[in-house]
Amino acid sequence: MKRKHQRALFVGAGLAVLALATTLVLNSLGQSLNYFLMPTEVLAGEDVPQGTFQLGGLVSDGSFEADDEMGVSFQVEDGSSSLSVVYDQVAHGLLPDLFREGQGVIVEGQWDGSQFVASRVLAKHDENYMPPEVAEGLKEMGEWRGEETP
Amino acid sequence: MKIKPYYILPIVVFIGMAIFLFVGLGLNPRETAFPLYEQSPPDFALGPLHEEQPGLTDEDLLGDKTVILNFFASWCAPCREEHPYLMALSERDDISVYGIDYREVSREKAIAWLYRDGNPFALIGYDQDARVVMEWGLAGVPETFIVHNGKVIRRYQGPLNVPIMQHDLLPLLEALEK
Amino acid sequence: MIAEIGHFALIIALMLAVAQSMAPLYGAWRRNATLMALCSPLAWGQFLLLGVSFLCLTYLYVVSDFSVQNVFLNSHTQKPLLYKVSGVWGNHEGSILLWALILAFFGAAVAMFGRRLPQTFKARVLGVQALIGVGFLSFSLFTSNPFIRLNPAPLEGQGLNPLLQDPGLAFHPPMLYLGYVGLSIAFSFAIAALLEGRVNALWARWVRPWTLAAWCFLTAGIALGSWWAYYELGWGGWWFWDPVENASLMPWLAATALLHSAIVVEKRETLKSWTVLLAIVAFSLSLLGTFIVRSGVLNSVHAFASDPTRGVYILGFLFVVVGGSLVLYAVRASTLQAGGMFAAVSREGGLVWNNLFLAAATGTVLFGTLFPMLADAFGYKVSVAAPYFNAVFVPLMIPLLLVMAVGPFLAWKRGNIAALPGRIWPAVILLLVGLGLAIWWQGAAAPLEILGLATGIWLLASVLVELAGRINLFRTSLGGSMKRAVDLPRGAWGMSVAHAGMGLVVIGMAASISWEREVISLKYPGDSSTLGAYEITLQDVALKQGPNYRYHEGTFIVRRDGAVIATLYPEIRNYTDPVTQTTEAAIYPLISGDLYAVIAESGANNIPGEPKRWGVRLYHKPLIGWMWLGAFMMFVGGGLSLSDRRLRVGVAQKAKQAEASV
Repeated sequence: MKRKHQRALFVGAGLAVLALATTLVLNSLGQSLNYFLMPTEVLAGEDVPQGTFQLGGLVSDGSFEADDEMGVSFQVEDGSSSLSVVYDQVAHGLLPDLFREGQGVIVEGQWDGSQFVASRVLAKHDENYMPPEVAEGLKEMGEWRGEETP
Repeated sequence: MKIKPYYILPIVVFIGMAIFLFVGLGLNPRETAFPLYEQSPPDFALGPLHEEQPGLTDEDLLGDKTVILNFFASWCAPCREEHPYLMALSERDDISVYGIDYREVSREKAIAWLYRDGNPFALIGYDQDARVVMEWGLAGVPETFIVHNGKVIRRYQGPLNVPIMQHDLLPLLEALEK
Repeated sequence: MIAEIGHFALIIALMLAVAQSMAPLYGAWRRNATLMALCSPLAWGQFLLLGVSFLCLTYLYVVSDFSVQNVFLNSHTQKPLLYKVSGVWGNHEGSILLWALILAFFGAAVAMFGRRLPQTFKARVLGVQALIGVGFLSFSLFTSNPFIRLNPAPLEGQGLNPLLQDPGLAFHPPMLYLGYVGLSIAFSFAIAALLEGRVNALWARWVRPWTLAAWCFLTAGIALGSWWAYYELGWGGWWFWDPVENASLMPWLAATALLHSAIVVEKRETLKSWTVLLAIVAFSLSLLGTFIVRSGVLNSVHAFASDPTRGVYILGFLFVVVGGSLVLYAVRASTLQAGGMFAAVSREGGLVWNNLFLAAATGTVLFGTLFPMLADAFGYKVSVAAPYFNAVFVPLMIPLLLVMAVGPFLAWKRGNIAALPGRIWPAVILLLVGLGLAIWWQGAAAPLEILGLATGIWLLASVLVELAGRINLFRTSLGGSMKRAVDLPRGAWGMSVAHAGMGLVVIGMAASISWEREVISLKYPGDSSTLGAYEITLQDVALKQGPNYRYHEGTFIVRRDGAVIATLYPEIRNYTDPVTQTTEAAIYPLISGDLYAVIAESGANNIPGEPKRWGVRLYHKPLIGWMWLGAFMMFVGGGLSLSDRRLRVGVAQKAKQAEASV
């Protein structure tokens, strides 16, 4: 085997792996992207995805309710509107530690036209963490709670 | 010296990525710069939050005293965090503290909050449709501006806190007084 | 006063770093021995000064000096001492200082252990190292100074997040940083080699121990972080594909590739330019990890808005370091002479395969991590979720792991593929037996999960078979085998242990995902749940007082076939300052897997005077402990290789020869 052949083999193998990786990326990217909306956008009804998407905002004070079967419901608001979210802890797991009224939250699920049926409630473990999409959305809507600017 | 093409590939890929990122950052519609700096405040006239009180207009910002203008909303948790600093500022004689309340779900709630925790604002304008907020170029609430001699000279995004008060705001007020 | 000493030491350290980045590099260019000789004392001086600076900051934290802004924002008098100390690096400013300190530590280590390095080469390595130091120290001083004062000093600090008061989290960042910064040495060696225009086996022998050490720390850091998430976040997950985790995974993948390609350079003097590129990329990814995660840029491009100077500095620094080194690479890489030839099926071929897949995996993780940021900049808000990473990463890992099992059987230069079945058949039998046992024990699972499990068992089995072959097990007397095992070089043992560790990690992941059992329900005290073979009773929930929190403690009795085998005490903690609630999972590790219990306040049906119902979640996660054991073995394997005498003595002798021949 000559050096030229060896190089051609490497380049060929490299391109094959690259092609494999690209195929995998393109295939899964479309399915794994999560769109992100605020309550106002959902209620406005424009471009609300049919399938699963993420909804972000603040959990309204005093809106949290739990029923006997470990289902919970709460309102998510963005300053100008709010909508109700239901979540079944038996099917999808307990609410995360950092879930609180008055705190930012991202819920993942589907909009059925009157309420948001969540299959996942996200909270994070960083001290100053505000899910970026929420921070961004709330900025647009008028709430701000980024890190302190010294 | 001969440069072979595939050794250039990494830098080309990197520059591609970098350009992409920089362009992306440049396209960001929300300017990080502070457009009102050293400008006169934009014209506005807002009605009051509480019906029996006066509202707020740009004329009010042009007086002799330095004005601290705070954008807030009762539903905004960081606004409650910075509330004590505004209360402290409102006790000074050399400045006026004004507020613009932005988009309440209920005005009664906002009034009740100010009644309960104290009202630092000599005048409050109520900006329901966010027009004034847009003109001031807010990223969100709370934000605080300082207007001195008819010019906007400072902007603080996010809640006031101890470092901001000690290292910037208070020294600035002191300097302005001289 | 202490703060000023620390601040002053930091400033002097910056000046030394500036000197260290100029004198030796200029000296190496001009062949000026005096200037080059400056590099070692300067590296030592920089390390000592940064040590002083860091100790000062630590002292300020320990005595809770809130006249220092950084302490005020990140500490609190009520924090336990351990967390006061770990608070030093639990924030942006302090962590940058720690970074610079570790960088200087490695610089000093090169100065000390590198006495036998050729003089110009050592000067260049330390010069490049100092250039990175200048970047970090000026970043610290000009944008993220930890020593800024507040006047008057506040009475109490603001930093008391109970979730972050955890030993796992306290030691996770320093471990990761040791790994990140360790890669800077490989980077400096790569740049120095490009400047010299020479990469040879000796170079690879120098680079490998540093990379290996960095890799060990990265492995430990990632494992600690994942373990913390597992027991602290309270829902049994251990990897979330979140940007912070990806930022540590990417350098690990690149370092793993570098580790293996450096072996090829060392043994066969080939793949040189690729290895140099990997060294540059691995460190660039570390920089990306530290900076971007710490600064919050990855969370959102708009983090720039909150502090533009920091963001611009970070981008500028990244651009200079990465861009500069890649330009140097483009110009100089072709001067590196191509080395020996080898066949596609050979040890080298296997390692190339390893590198290709690791590089592809790194690329896809990088893409997935940066994509939301790109999309956000163009006005689309999307997040790339775990399904993307799972769908892309796992298929790239499986071929890698399959070859990882076979690679060590192949000879250098030209492997004999026809002889392979004759050597590897016992591994196939072990695989079938292992897989059969697992399915008999836990039942069927989805095909992809079985494939993952099979891959892990295959890897483990082949490591055992390869090791048995090396020590002639069953072919000579047991004593003879033992003697061979003892005589085996530590490097060989290191590889086997680390590879077996990886096998355990894969088995642990696959088994715990395939056969996880979960029960979530509302329970009165006294109620029982059935979880596989276990019957678990919530006996009681009591309210108790902790050091700075009150907590509800649940008592769960675990029975198997009627016999009590364990008692679990999960907690719900309520901290008062700030008001925070955290869940402490209780985990009972069995050899067969973990029992994991969490309680929560249900909010339902709480009528005063009536017994309260509690949210209860129970898991059985088969073999999950193998993951941590495997990670530990990888760490140990790396350490074993590091202690191999060949890596040290050989270098010394060869370096002398090289010096003599210059």
